[in-house]
Amino acid sequence: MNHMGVKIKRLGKIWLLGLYSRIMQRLEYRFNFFVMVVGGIIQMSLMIAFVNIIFNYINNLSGWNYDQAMIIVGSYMMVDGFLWGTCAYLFGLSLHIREGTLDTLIVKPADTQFLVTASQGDPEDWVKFAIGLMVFLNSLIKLDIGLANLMVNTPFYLLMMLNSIVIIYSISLIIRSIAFWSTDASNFWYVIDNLTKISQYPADIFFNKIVKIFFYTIIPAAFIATVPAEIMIHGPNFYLILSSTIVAIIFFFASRKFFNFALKDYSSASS
Amino acid sequence: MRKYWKIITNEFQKNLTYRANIISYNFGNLFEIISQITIWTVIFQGTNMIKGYTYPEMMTYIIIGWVILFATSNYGFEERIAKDIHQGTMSNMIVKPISYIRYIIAVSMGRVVVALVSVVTIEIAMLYLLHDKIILNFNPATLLLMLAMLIAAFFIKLLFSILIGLIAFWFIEISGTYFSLNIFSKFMSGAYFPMNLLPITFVNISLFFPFIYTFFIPLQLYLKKITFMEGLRGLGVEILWLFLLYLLIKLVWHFGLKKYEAAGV
Repeated sequence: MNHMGVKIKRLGKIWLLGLYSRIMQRLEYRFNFFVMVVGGIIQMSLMIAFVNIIFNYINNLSGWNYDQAMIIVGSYMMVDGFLWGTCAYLFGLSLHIREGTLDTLIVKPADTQFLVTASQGDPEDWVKFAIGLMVFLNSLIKLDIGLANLMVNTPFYLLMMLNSIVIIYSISLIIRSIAFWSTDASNFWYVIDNLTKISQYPADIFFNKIVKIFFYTIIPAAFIATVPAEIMIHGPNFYLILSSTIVAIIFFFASRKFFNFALKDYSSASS
Repeated sequence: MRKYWKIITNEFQKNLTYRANIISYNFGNLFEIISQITIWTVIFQGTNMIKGYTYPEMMTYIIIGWVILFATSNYGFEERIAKDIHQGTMSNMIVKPISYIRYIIAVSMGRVVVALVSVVTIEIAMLYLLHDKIILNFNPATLLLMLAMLIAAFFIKLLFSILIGLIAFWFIEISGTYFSLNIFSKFMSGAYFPMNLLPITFVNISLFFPFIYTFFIPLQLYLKKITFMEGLRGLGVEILWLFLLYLLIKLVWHFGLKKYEAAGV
């Protein structure tokens, strides 16, 4: 147990060092950093604007009113912002594989998957998380679900959000690991990026049963924002909580297995 | 001219090597359309018309718009130009009897062909599946004008990318600039959603930029929401922008080259 604690402490220290160096790197070019933040704000504003446009013409979107839909949008933004803000190295994995720069990580005396995941975060994307949190809190206040419900729902909501992060992370890792075999897989992430983007809308919009099953199982986009929002608004649903947790665990272990399997084929280009 | 033709064919062959990469890019974006189609279908279940758009018109806007978006994409030349400047690889081009700008244009043309083939294939499948939900406009004059507008749109986007890339003569890090400008240009072109869903001020402002003529105006022409003459005027504005951007690039290139340090030489 003590050994485990030391290991976690060490990984935490590595993560903090990576974060610190990335912030320093970004602040070296302050203007660029500022423009990136502005870009992130525009991107999030467009997402909000689109939902506002939709609700100019309808009262509810597949059973979700404006504030409820904004809970989904806010949750999606937080998950997206968190992942880009902490796991940015993973999003550029195919480039590192192609150019052989992954060498710098695999020779380090720490778990390679952890290093690939958390050695670099993009601080400019924290603005996405911040905007998401604001959207979420603003809608939550308007929904007025009551303090007692809030106390019960919040821990489950947080658990669902953790599951969301694990699910997107795992899918991303699997897709990006394909780059170990394919020389140029830089565009593979578009598949996953656009699939996860779907999760900014309520999963109930997919009225076709087959499509719905697809988004709850094969690509579990429904668990990314719709399920956490549902738990926050309507309270714990043990069936959803259990399925979300099982899906997250399965995807996490599958991605770890797949990554380690793919890593064996790393050809270390240019070394 | 033959040397640029060689560059185009080389780039075409190079892209054929990484077919899966390009197909996955288009395939990924297919999910974006699916979500757009689904969401607008749900919205139109409660209403017949949104700001002058009927359901088939909105579906056409999304589906035909998808082809326009990818047919006129140039896949991030800003980054490549910035890299050439900072790593000094531009020196290889400067000492050769070819123009660097024309070289980039040739590479872009070679690259778009493979992407276009996969986009058109997916589009044909989509038109087959959704032919009863969209508006098909086979007017030859309209299609010809649209084609001309799209060719101009491709070059406007490309020249804009080159212009941003050349900023790297003065700045080391330009990723933020092109990231933000790409979002801005996509929004101003009406690719996120039809511009006329926004307050009229936005449409009026967007007319001062070239982007609306690369996406929204051709689609309005296809949907017969603007006349052929208005479409021709749109093409005229695009040509004006092309000249302006080309002149700007020449100017920036002239002054930028004086700042070029040819790193690594």
